[in-house]
Amino acid sequence: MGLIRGTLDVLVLKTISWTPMHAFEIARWLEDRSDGRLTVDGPALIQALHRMEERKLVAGEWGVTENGRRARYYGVTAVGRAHLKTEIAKLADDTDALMTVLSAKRT
Amino acid sequence: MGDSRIRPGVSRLFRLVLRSDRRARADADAELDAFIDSRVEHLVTHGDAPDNARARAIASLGAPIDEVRSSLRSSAVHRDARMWKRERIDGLIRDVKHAGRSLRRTPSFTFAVTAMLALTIGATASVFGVVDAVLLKAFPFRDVDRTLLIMESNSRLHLPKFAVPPTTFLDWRAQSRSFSALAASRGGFATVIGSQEPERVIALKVTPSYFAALGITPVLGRSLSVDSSGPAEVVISYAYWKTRLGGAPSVLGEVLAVDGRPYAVVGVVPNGWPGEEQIWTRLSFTAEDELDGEHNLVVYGRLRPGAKADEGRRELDAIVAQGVSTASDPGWSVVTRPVLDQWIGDVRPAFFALLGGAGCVLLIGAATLANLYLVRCFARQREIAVRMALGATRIRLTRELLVEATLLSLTAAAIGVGVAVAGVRVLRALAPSSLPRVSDVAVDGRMLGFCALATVLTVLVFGALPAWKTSRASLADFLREGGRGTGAVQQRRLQDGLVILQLSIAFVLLTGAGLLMKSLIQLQGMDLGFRPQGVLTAMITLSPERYPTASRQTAFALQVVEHLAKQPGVTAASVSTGWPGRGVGLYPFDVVGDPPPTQVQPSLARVTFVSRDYFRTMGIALRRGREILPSDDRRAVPIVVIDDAFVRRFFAGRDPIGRQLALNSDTVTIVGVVATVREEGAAEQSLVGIYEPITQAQDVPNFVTVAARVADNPRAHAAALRRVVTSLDASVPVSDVKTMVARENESISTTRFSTFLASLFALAALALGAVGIYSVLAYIVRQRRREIGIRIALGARNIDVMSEVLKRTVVLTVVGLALGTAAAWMLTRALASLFVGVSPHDPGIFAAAAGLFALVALLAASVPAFRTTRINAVVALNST
Repeated sequence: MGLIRGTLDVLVLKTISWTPMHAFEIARWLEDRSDGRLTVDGPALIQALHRMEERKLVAGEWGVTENGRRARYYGVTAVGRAHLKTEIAKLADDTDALMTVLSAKRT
Repeated sequence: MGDSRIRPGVSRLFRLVLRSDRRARADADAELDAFIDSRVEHLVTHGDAPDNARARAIASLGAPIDEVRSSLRSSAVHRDARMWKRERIDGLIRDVKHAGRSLRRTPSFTFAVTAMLALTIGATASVFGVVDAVLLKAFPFRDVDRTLLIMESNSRLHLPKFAVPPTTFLDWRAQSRSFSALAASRGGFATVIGSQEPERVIALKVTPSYFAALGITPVLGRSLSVDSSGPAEVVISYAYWKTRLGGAPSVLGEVLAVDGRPYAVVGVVPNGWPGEEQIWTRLSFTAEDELDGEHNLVVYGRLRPGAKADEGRRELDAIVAQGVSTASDPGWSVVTRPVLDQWIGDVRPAFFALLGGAGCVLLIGAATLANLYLVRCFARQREIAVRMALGATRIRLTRELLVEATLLSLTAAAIGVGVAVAGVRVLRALAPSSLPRVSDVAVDGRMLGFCALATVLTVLVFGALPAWKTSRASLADFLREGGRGTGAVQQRRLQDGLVILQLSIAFVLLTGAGLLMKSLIQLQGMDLGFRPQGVLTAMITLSPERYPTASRQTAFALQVVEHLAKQPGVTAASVSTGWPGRGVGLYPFDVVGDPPPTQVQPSLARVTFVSRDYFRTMGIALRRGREILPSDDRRAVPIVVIDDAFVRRFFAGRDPIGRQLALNSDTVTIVGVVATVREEGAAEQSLVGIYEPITQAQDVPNFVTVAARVADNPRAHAAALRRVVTSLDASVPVSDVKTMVARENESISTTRFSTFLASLFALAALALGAVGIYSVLAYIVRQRRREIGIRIALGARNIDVMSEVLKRTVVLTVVGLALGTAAAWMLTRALASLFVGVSPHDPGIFAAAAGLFALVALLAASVPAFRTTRINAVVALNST
């Protein structure tokens, strides 16, 4: 399945919140963790990273992969961490509301 | 940037400094390739064949690879541009915040600098505003360089600039080839009766070519028509149109009654006309004009393209020389001047000097601030050195200091504009009303532009210099010098240079102001020859229609005087042509019985027609003989009263009473001698004076001056004076009601105005110079606290440590004075025309200025010098 609109940013932030990663690592991590239920569009991911870098939520720098390949690593900034926290709270709240409605029984 | 990981700050810095679109595109490509390659690797490790794996990886992008690549590239380029811009803005905001904090830490410095700078900029800008409006703004004349003011001079008669007779003008107009237009004008007054009460206006009679010769295009309507057969026409000034005639375009075709005759308004002269004229009417020459050869025209000539002013002048001279045989009037030669000289020739040198003075004050202000700022920067050297050691770049530190200076300057400039607005208002109120275009003085774009320019200049001088100096500091130097600061010698030289510059400029201003002040005192203290206090004067204009003959005019004027004298509080009243110091006509005369003068030409005297109580009213002392009596009328023997100057020049050692003069084709007898009245605005008397009874005059100008001497405040009688005239004839306009003191003040008002401004500048310069000396010495004392402390601990006396500081003051002052004297010596000679009755190298003024200067310098130095004695050895040694 694809991503729910607007959730890519928060998923990416969560993914790199422990350690900086490059774009493909992020994509793979998301696919693995969701047991293949989430598929990530590569170019969209790169654009999202760029966008967040501009907003100073993430900081990117060039590095070298385990296989000796040059890649751009992204890590979360302090601003990004705060953003992630509020976004998670908001998402949880939204999901909760959604589920409450959807699981309502006829009274 | 291959294999090694570079510190993020550095890489970002590089990327941001060396931002280029190409780099952004390459980065985007690399990132996409890395993504695809990683996926291929991943697929291969999970068992795909490499070729197959790549195809799958590319397919998973969701769009053709070229499309993906180009969209990534373009968004990366845009993003980088945005980030770069934001980084710059953030940096600036950071610097501004930092500067603001740093300025808040030293409120007294910030306040002093802002106030000083605001005052300097504001004062300079307001002076610029006045000079700009009067001199610099464009005049409404086309190709003003090609228009000449043409006059005649006569060295024998001491007449450097004099009017031209109609015969000469007509010869010129008929024969000249160098001029495309030659025009003549004759000034005077006229009475205009419009919707309101009759009014005297300043009127100019001009030949129709006048507007073409001056290059004036009417802002509305047209100029006077060449054909004189049509109805009479009048052109009006812009101010007259706006203030008196409603300012609507429908004014064209309106009819004004000028001296009782109808004139149709045909045109309006553009705004910015420098003269006081209000209306222009046609000048036509009568047979009489051409015969009597009276010099009464001001001539303007427009040179043909390519013709030189000098050629034109020589041609006119030749034409005059040809005509001499018929006119028998030798000794005259043609002088030409740029046409604007007529209006601004007198004020130009003074005003440029003032503008120069304002510039000097600005320069001194900037230098003083540079010094204060330098001191502040050096005081922060420790902090700066430490920050540099910790990795702050020189660019960054310089930028911070510059931002600080800019912040100060901008604040000061904003306040300065306010000061300028107020200053312009004050100057306009103080400026003499005779100053051309002074009513146009206003705060406008040009003045604001000047403020901006002044601000930029000061920032450059006082911000950039110290910033550059300070940023060269290094921690090693700082430590090597024992915490005393860096490059002590070099920095001291810079400071000394600034102080000497300030002092020498301030000295030039001080001497200039001193000389002007002495001129003013000289002018004011000069014996006027009459007592202006307690006298009220006014002009009345008698239109030729109602008062066609001299006897009718005189009869009315005398009637006014008679009624005026009866008013309560009035002790004497008179009527005259002109007032003391401002006569109207120059007439040739010969002393009967004396051998004819060696020159061909008769001597000239300034002749004033006066009623009998004139001398008593004006307070002109009778030296010998008698005054004018009521019996001196048309039936009696014609008499005159002459002045002291006349006696000195023509009757040296002889009694003039009873002698006769051939004056204006009459023979008159001298019956009295009165004190010499000084000519308006002149330092020395060049003409002799003759007073003729107005009751014996053949011809009287149609505007005369009535005057009343009163026991109390003359201004309180203005209404009574008007009432007397209107009760006798309501159609006679009364104008220009002024006390004699006010008239006298007007005659020296330009000098007074310049002196006022120059003194202000000099005071400002002196104060700034004092601050300059103070700041340098205060800094030295602070810097050498340790050393002084040691010396005090070792038993040095107060006087020893103080003398150290004072020695520096003396050296600075002496050098500043020497340079200043040299500069002032040269400059004041160039400005000699501004000083009346004072040598431009007046030793008293130079000495006084030097003395005042030395005093102020010592006072400024005494505070820091005294502070040395307060240094506590223990505290000083414990501090760094």
